[in-house]
Amino acid sequence: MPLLEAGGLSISFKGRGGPVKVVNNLSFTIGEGSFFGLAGESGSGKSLTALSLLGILPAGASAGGSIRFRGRELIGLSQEEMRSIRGREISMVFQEPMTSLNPVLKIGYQIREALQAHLRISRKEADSRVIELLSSVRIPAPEHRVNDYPHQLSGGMRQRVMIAMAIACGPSLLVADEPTTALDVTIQAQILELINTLKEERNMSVLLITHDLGTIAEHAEQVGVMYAGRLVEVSPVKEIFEGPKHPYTIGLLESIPLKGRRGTPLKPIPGSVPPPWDLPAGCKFSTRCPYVIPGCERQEPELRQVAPGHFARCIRAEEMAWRL
Amino acid sequence: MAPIIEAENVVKHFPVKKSMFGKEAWLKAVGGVSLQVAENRVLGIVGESGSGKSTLARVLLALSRPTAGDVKFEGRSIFGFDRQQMKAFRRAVQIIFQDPFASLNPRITVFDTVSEPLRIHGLAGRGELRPKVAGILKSVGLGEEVLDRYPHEFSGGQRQRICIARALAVSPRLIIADEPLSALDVSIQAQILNILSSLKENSGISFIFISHDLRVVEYLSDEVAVMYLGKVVEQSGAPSLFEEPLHPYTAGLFASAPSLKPGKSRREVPKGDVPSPIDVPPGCPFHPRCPKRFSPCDKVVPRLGQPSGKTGRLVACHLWNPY
Repeated sequence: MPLLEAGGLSISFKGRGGPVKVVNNLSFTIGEGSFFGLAGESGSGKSLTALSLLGILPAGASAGGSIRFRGRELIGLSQEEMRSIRGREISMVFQEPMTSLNPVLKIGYQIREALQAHLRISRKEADSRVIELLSSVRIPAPEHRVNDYPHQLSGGMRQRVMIAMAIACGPSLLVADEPTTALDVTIQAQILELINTLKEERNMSVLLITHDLGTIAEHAEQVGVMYAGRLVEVSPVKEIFEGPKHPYTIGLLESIPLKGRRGTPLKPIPGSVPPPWDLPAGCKFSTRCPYVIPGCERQEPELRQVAPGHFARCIRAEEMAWRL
Repeated sequence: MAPIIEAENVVKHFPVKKSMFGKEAWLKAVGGVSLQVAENRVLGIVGESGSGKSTLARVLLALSRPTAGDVKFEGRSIFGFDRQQMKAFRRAVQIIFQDPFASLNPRITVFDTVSEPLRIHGLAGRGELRPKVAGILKSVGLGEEVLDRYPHEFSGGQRQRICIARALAVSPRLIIADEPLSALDVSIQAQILNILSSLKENSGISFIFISHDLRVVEYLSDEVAVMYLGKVVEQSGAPSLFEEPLHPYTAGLFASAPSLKPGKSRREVPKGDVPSPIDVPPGCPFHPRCPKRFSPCDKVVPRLGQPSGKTGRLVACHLWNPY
């Protein structure tokens, strides 16, 4: 049984002219102890997908379909039931560590709060666990740091504190939504390294949400690429980078100024992502796709297996011979 | 070739109060930087937050006066300019900012935004304005139909095109672009990069391109300066810098940027945090994080110099330049 299984997951917002679907019929599985990278640009629905797993969608949004965690259906759970899973079984690290921490409370207090929300432990025991947690996220001199306020820490250190809080109750799934976007390059590498080490040490699964394909290539085992609220390609990491099968994935890879592309014009994806209330009929990428043929506009293609374990939502997937 | 703009040992310190009774401290944003940009060249400035790259840009634009040092434009100090000369300088040097949402006035149309610099500098008569603005917008890939629309009607990528058009309107000699791609999606970044690189090829404009993204800097720059805590630690032609980084910080930066090769690569990522520019470490500013530090590094400030046998390259590191 996979750890998490999303089946036909949809997320809609209430709109003036009826509900607007921003995530449509998403199906994916995350195995025990595995690293799943979900890639997409702004507006692709990747962050909402993450929020739906924790039952914390913004007001006005609702999720349909199914999210099974260890076989248990999460959609439709009461607030109370969801609270016992959130933070304990599934926890989350957000993009902006400064806005996720309470500025007027010491970091030790904030981590202890996460522990005592789920575990029946004494104050003394919680305090010593906090120090253990801080040292497991490689914060030097943790016994002094517990008394620091968030503003006394650097951006990288704050994100380490967020991670300590997220892993406090030993969750089996850590959802990290753009955890390094607000950080400097050298610190980004450190934080991703840390998440990876913790995943190995604790046999925890990680769902990493990012716009950075480089990060995914380096850390993920399984990759999903989202466009306009849909998964357009899902595959093991090696296959997708060595032979992408969806034109959108190819477009993303062609947009990156790699070594050796100096002086040659890049081939960006033309236009921009259409808004969710104005998507084309048929394939949602058809209006921007360089490989478009008349058949693309008639019907939305299925996400289908085009090679063992490699799924793509494109009728011409087999013809794609693009190489990095 | 004579440089268009030249920074000579620019220092910029900001006063900060450490505590109510403590003595005043200084945030050393830029600590003695010398750079030149020649005609039709692109200088890339790379650095993390706190490296001083944006402060340096403000000094080069005469938006901020340096604590010490000078900036020369076409051979003359910009801080000695009179009104007339300053106006000419403002026309010759333009800027593109990071956030295209914050850098356009939401209450005026695209036409007014792009034509304003033309009117201020008296570069076009009333009748010529519209066709001229339409022509500039065309060069950044926007059609005539956008003229009477407002910024909120556009996506981030389109807004950044409008900002580029506004900078181009007065036919500047130098454009300073401060992280012009960071707020944009990957596929849109490539569109803007193509516009910038075709400008570089066809317009004769020089650029100072400030970014934390090494791939983008490599793609666009002729020359690159790597900054760390207010100092240039390495400077070189772009191809040789990316071929063989000499300074351990440059090497660490390169190692931190993931490639697109699936799977882990063994790399040496710099440890620890960037120190605060209020407490710049003594000696080499990078020594607390440097994997290759040795005896002089925490005592002697390395000078930026050319290592023997490395023509056209400058590095501030004791490994390369005997102290």
